[in-house]
Amino acid sequence: MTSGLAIRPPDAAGEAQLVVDEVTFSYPEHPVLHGVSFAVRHGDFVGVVGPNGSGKSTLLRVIDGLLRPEHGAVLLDGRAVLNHARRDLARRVALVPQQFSLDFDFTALEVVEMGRYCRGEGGARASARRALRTLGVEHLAERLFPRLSGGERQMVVLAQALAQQPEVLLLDEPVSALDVAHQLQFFDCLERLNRGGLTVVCVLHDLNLALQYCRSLLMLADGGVAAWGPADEVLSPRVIGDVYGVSAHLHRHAGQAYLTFSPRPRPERRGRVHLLCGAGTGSLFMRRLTEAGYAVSAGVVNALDTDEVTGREMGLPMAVEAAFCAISDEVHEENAALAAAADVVILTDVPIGPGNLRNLEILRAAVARGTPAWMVAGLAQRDFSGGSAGVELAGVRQFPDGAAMLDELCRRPLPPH
Amino acid sequence: MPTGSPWTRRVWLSLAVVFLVLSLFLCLALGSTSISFGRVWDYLVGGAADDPAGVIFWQLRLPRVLLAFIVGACLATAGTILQGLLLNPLTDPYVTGVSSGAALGATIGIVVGLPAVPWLSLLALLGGGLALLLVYALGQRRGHLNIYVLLLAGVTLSQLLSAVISVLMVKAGEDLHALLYWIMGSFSARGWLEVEIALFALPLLAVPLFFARELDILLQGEQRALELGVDVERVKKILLVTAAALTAVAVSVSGIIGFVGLVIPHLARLVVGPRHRKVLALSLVLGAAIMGLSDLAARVAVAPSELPVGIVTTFFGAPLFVYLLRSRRRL
Amino acid sequence: MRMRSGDPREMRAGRSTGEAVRTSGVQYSGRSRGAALRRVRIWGATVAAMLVLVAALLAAVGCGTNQKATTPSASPARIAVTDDAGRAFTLQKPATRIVSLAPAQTEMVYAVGAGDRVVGVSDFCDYPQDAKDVDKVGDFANPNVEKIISLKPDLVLAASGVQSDAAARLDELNVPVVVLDPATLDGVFEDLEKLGLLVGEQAKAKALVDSLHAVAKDVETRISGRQRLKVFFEIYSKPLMTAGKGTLIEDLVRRAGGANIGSSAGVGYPEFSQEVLITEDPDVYIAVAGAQAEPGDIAKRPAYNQLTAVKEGRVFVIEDNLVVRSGPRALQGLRQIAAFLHPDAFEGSE
Repeated sequence: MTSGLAIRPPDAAGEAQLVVDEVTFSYPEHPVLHGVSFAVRHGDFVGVVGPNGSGKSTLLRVIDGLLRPEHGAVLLDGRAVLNHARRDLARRVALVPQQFSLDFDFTALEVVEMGRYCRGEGGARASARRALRTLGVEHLAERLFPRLSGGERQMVVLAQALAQQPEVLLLDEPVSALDVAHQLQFFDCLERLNRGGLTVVCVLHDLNLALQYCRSLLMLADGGVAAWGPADEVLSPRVIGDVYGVSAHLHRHAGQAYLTFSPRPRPERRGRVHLLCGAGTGSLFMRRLTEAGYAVSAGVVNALDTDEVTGREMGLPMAVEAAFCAISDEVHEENAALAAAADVVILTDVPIGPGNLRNLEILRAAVARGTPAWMVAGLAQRDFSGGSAGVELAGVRQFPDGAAMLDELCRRPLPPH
Repeated sequence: MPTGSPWTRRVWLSLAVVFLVLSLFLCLALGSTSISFGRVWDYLVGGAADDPAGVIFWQLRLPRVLLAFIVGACLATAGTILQGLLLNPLTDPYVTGVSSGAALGATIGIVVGLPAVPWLSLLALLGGGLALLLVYALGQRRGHLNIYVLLLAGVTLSQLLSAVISVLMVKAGEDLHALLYWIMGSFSARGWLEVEIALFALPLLAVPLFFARELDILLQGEQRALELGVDVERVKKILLVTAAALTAVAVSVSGIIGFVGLVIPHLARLVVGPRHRKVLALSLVLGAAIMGLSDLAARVAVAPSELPVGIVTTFFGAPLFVYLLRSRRRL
Repeated sequence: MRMRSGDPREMRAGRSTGEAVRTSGVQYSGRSRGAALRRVRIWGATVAAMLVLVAALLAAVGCGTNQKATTPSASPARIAVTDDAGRAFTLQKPATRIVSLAPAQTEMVYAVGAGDRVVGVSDFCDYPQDAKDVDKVGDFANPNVEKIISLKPDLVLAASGVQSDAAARLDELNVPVVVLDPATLDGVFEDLEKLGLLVGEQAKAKALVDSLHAVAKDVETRISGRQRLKVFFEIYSKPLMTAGKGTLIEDLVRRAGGANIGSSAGVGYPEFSQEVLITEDPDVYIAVAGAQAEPGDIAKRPAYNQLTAVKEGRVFVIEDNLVVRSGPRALQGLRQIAAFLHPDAFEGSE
């Protein structure tokens, strides 16, 4: 099931370090993966995401040669992983597992030393210490492993994998049990290691972490590749919506993109709402009303205005004026058309100034048409237009605040008009 | 290694060896007649003696004590290996069903009427080996050895063989007591012949030491061990066969002696921590010494009669085991 | 009562409207529920009554059997004997159907001339030859009580110890059980006479006892005045086991002019330390016959070359049944042991 986003076709053999080629795997009576193909370049930071049960953990185990696929193969620098002896493979590929249990009184250093097994006896202790130092947790060396906190243990397990000095590091949901601070600390470490040349393939649940740290992203669904390519392209709201069945919204803040999610809007259309908003006052309306099943439009908002960004990310029809400009006639006409198609027109508590004064005309036009027109009370306080706002606004239903309006709209269907 | 005081950490091996040598001398010196340590030393270096005390020493006491030490080392080592492979603190060397196979071998020897020496021991060894093969075959599936299935097979086989032995014994009639005495662990009336058979176990005792690192890694589970590069199947097979062979040798020369294989590994871990390099070495030494001392108690407690050594090991082993289970230390 | 029209289940049942249609116990009409309940109550009462009746019958049968076991018949007892377990035992007339649960007892019964009256013996009863053809009633530890009863014995001879459970069970079932388990030769003589009484062969028993006495006396005479010799009696080799205090062997050895080393190790058949054996250095070594007990093999055992008995060739083997079965053949055992100890005193005699 490919959603047409296979941006990165299989690489020329020279560039790819890890090639997964048409891998199909089933547990007895339980198919898990079919026809999974993708190629990872040296030094890439690949995230593997997908709904529960999509086969992510299984894929990692196939890549590490722990499971033998029925069809297809995994190639490491051109050579099948299953062709390697376990010890040889461990020198090239390391896995950080999802669950790790060791209920014995080994010190953290001894645990990390176990990672050196594949590299022989010599200098095991020193290498183990170096691995801990790389992660900044050398102070844990003599502590007993079972007594460490979850975050500390995860770091030690990572150090154990690093002690193998692999070329490729596979991780299976390494931070699912960690708090936010430890999650970020862990991934910062990964990022540093990746910049040092280590190829990373990491199964994740947190799409924002994936977006933040992964360069490439593989999205699995139902055992097949749903999307494979640069992270920000794979994690588009459309793909997420197709695969996860939720509404995703992409935002940018201080140069960083992040996703928020909301449940899929209910299929029944409850009507159309047109928002006269701006300066962020309409964003909540846009979200809540869309979730509640309304078709939402907005205008006039200036480009780069918060509401414009939200509306654009949500794909809402809007009348948009250029940044810092007053409303032009064409855009005003667009706005009027949108408002005319709506079942209710709402004026949020956006401050009114000379730039968006003309939006009030839309409101009056709605009253004149007989379309319900709502506004948040107290326009005088928001009037920065030199008093022109306080013109005839009879027939507009006043609400104490936006929450009351939302309440009314979401509680019951619109009254017929 | 944070277990024990810093002083114990550094000198544990020396202490253990001293304990071993001391126990050896004690066991050789004490008995129905006491021999001074000096005389013991003279005998050891002087070779076979002709005076009655010397003959007792060389023909009766020395082989018996050596046998006890070797059997103790075998059982403790087998127990350590199996507890590591199975990640189960309640495992003793007899879970593999090898002891029942050995008992069946001995039973057949008794029923057929073969002279006990050397046939009972050899048939026991053969029986133990066959039981191991059977149980091993049952645990194998497509190149993967499932140790838990193997255990179940071992337990089942033990039950089955016990039933077979009972049937044979009904037909054998009065020889029943011969089998009972054979099964009931004892070093009584064992001599150089049994020691010669037990010597086969000495090289086996060294095998697990070569796999100490692998045993440590296997504590994280078979899958993790694979991920870290351990050839898990090969290691499992070698260690399992070693443990079973050690058990078979022990049972064939001295019957079934309980608790030593179960408790000694825990004691060792208590002193030196979980690393197998140390646990294996200390188990071996402690197993030997404690079995020797138990046999000493069996020899002198009700002189001139003797107790079966299994009673002594159970008498001290059972409460000790309960204590270990209840203590806070991780097993 | 309404019938739900069109209900296929009711239609299939083919009943008329007048009846409660019951499919899988479900009633379809409220009014018939009361009737059903009444029906259930009647069923319940009947079953309960039947159970009570059956229980009463069983109790009656059981009581009846028990009642038989309380008192013997009213007529005065003709034979009164106290057995080795200290129980007073009475028989109205000499026993005619005898079951013996142990080899020693079997030998005794045949020896007093009541062999023709033996109807059941244990699996191990192999002497005399005739005993082998008699019905077997089970092994030593678990005699088959049902089989014993089916043979309708009026006298059952048992040993003590492991057979006491079976003896108790037979007691409850009012089967006459006598425990005869002598531990000494004197005890054998006594029990032979009691047995004579029980089977009505007093004369034969007395004659037998007299002849056996004579054998013992003869032995005593031949060895009188000689120094007591240290004897080790081996019962089993691996582990080394000997006969201790309170065994027949101890008595025989003493009468044969020996001192049994094994008595210091406890009662019954205890293990014995090889080292102590070498240190004690018995004059004579006697082993019970078995797979490992050939005099040549014994001499080759580790450290045995130190024993005086081995050096002087005084290692002997004896048939076990002559020394562990407390019966008339024990006298043969006595004679053999005495001959081992003092061969010169027995030269020329068989």
